[in-house]
Amino acid sequence: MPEELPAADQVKIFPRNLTARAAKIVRGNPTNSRPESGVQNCYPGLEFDLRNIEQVFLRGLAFEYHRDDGAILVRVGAPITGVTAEEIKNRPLYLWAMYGQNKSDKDDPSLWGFRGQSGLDVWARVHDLLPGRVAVLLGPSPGFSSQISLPTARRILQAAYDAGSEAGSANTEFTMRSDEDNKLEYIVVSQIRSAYVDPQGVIAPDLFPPGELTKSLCAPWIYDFRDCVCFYWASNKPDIVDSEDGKTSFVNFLRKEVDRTDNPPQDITTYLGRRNLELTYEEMIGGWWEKLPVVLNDRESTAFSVAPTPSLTEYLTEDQVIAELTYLATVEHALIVEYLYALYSTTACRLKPAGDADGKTRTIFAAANEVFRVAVDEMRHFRWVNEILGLLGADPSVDRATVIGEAPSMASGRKMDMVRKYMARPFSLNPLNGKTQQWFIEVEAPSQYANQDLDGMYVAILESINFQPDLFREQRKRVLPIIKLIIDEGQRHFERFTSVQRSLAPFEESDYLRDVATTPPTARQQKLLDLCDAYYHSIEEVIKITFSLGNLSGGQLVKAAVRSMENLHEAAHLLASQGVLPQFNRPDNAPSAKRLSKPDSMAMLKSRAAIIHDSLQQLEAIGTDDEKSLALRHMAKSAALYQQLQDIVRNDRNEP
Amino acid sequence: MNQRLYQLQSNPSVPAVVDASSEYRLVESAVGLQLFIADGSRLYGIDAPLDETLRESLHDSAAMESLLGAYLNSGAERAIGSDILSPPPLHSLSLNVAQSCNMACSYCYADEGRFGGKSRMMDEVVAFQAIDRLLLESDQAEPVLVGFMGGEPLLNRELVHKATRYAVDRAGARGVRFSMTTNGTLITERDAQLFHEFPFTIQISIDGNREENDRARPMRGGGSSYDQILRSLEILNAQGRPRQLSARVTVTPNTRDLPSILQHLLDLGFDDVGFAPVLVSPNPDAAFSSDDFDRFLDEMKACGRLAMAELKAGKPFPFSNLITALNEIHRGTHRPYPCGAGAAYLSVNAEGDVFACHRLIDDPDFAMGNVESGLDQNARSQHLAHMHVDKMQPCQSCWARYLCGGGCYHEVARRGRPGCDYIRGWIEFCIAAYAELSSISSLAIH
Repeated sequence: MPEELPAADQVKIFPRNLTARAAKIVRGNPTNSRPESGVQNCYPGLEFDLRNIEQVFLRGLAFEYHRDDGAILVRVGAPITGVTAEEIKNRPLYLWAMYGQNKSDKDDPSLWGFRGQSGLDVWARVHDLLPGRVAVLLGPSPGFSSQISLPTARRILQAAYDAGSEAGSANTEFTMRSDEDNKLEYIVVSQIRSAYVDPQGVIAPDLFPPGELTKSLCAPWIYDFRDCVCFYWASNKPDIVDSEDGKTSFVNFLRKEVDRTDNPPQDITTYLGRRNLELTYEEMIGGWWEKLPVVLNDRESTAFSVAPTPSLTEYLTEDQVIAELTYLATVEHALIVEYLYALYSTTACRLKPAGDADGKTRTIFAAANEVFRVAVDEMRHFRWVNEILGLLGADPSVDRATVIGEAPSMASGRKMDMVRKYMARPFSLNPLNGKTQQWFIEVEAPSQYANQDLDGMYVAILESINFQPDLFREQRKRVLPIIKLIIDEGQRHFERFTSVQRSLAPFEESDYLRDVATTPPTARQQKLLDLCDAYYHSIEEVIKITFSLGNLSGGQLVKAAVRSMENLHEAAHLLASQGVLPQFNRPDNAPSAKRLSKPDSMAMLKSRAAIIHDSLQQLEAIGTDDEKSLALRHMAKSAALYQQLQDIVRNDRNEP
Repeated sequence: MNQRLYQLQSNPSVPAVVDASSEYRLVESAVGLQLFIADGSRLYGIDAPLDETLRESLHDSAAMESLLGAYLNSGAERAIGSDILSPPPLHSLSLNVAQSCNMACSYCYADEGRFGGKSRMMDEVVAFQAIDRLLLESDQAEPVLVGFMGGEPLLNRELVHKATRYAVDRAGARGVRFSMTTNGTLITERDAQLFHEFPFTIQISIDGNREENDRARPMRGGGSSYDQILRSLEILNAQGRPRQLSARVTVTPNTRDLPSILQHLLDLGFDDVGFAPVLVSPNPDAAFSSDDFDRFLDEMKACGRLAMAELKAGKPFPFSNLITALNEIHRGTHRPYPCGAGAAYLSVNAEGDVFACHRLIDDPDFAMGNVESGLDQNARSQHLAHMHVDKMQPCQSCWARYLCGGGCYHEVARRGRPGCDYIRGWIEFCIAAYAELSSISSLAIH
């Protein structure tokens, strides 16, 4: 046997497989009491209560921190000799003052006095202690006795602290007893704060026997959301709600009002006052939980209506679904353009206002940004509808609807009389005034029934596919979730446009709408207008190419479409700042084939790249500094982009 | 693997370790020295300072114990006792539905399906009795597995279809899975639909590309078995694949270039590919001798390195010999028996007689009852009593015995244990591979 064996903690033998790991028995608190595995909710917590650690921050002394009158000593033992367990049973001791370091061990220690503080406040100070020397002063009543003032406490603690440091002992203590009856007046103890974890990083087993850390826990299965201090449970229950009739906001859900449809009581500003109006635990358990109303969308409701049954008299056939989706893609396209035009009509800049901007500017930006984000959602929907069409083997649909909510013609292949009343609103570009805001709300309004409004058209398609299992057997699993998402996001658009209307309501339209030039655009502005149109057409073309080629390079092409969108966005803002809005003109040339071949795609890309390049060159020649800068930047970006697009199309393996 | 096989009681009175070399093995790997401890199949990575000490102490069992005691707190109790397994509840049963074959592979252990007797087919009565027996003798709360073997099981196609549906019906909520080992030349659309509809694991025997395969595995009456298999693969792909579609390559001493065979079969689209060396064969040229094993080990390691390149990059590479070994090493599988034959797995011949496994069909030494009259529990107990690896030679003194288990009963009965060096060499390679893979923190080891 070799003479020199390295010490056990200096050599690593690393158990690799499961049986090797299982062979090592680790004694101590369970693994789920490790801080790093916590839910970060330990106050009291679901795994263990962090506050239990500080109970034994000094050896031989154990405190509890839940009392209002301070931190109380509940256990005493070795190495403390100045006071016995029997003594503290009859005459409890409180933590009066503490002297130690919480900022850095280079500074002088701080002193804290705990008179009048609750146990939890004391705990917070103990929690902040750095590892190192601490001195504490304990006395037999909450707060100080009349004999010891704060300066005196400082003197006593400092002396004990220094004595302990000099002696380097594990425990230094000093007891003061009264001469007459030997009653304890105070005791001061100085130690190095307990090491909560041992050198291996394990929670010290001798300080915390198994079960110690988990002896107090959150109990979420009790209806305890009332007093959950970390608000985890409160955040999962209704807290502040609107009254049932919607007229009163910010009502306390926990108020004990049997008839909640009446005027809810005014809010009271004191904690106790409010609490007296709230349900007690007994009332909660005693049956109130059955009377509390359901809260939907933050509003109390005692009536709970069942979802409407499908109201389609006839489901759509496969061809009708395809025809309808083909039309709906053009509607998405139209809405994108209407939203973007409305966005550019506002005074909001492209970039978020600086932190010191005034409230009005920030509100207008936020509202305009909401419109922009909805437009981006619609771009996603536009892409998704085309993806569905691709899945179903149909041609891509990228044109722009001339009428939104158009009644179908016989030739279109769409189902006739599907909707009770067609919106039939012609596409038009409008600034974001009150009327337009209202129109945006209406067009995104969710429909209860499958045969009403635009949303209803998607619902009709959803129901047709859902309730006819033979429809689109192969693809239905992928198609259904996409349609559901479009419907759900549409619902949120409705809410977002409503909030846009609400936030712009306090202002005059002239506050947030640009002054649009009445004179014809200058040559420079015309160049910018042409550029915007070129970008607009390029996006449409790329989408068409994407879905003609099938999905292989689809992701990359779509990313390219996004970059063109960003270029359009920048150019449009530049234009709008001059009081001219992009017109989103349709391309002049005759509509090309519904589905593009590879050679056609390449030709289209080449041609578009040339058009954009020419526009940018002309802009650079005659533009202002800003416009020159934009042109130069875009020229570089655009060249690279179109090269990449052509490579993608060329290398696409799907088509010969 | 049936967990019940491992419900052994620990036995503190097992005789002390005879020789350290039968209990410990140091394995060099790309991530440092590894220590493998046979008892419990435990694997440890060793830090450099301990390297030398360990190497010096390896042959001294007392030194090893005190060394490891200092570092590992390992107990004196052994994880594996010498307690014999008593026959556990049955879990799987294979039905030899066709003792007959449409091919004439020279190395076939089954004498072209006949197992030394006449060609015969299992009938419905026996098959259904076998399934009933399986369901009766198994744990009522657990699912079971029914295997179809041969010869070529699809020669008795109708029975396979009927027995499958019968088993599903009778098993009910308990659940039943199926497996089949087939030469893959006879799969029809209807068969493929069956394999897709029910939970089947299909293992196709194929030995490489067209030239390699057809040389070793000729059709009776000529024609390319490889082409037939390709056709079958097309059918399987068209109808919907079974749960698992594996390729099994039978390796003879004449087989060349295993890595390219492996790659070729993976490219054909099999879910996994495995190699089995022929140890028992009517044709002596087709079976391995001790010298042939060295080259075989090199070839297997080459396949292993091919796999490791992909696995280290987080990509799958289902070379099943390696993957199985990695899983077993990870779990620290420690088995005193090589497999479940005679324990939770049995096999039935055309007459309904039961044997320890599909290779031992019609071998009286391994007869274990009859599906109609009942299992021979005594024969099962005796089998398990005799075959504990600690009772085998030369296994008793081999460090790899609990990963190996002592070798296939069939092969050992016919030819003894000529391949031990190969097995140890391969296990060592796999241990080093495991150590390397488990050091890559971005991989998830399951």
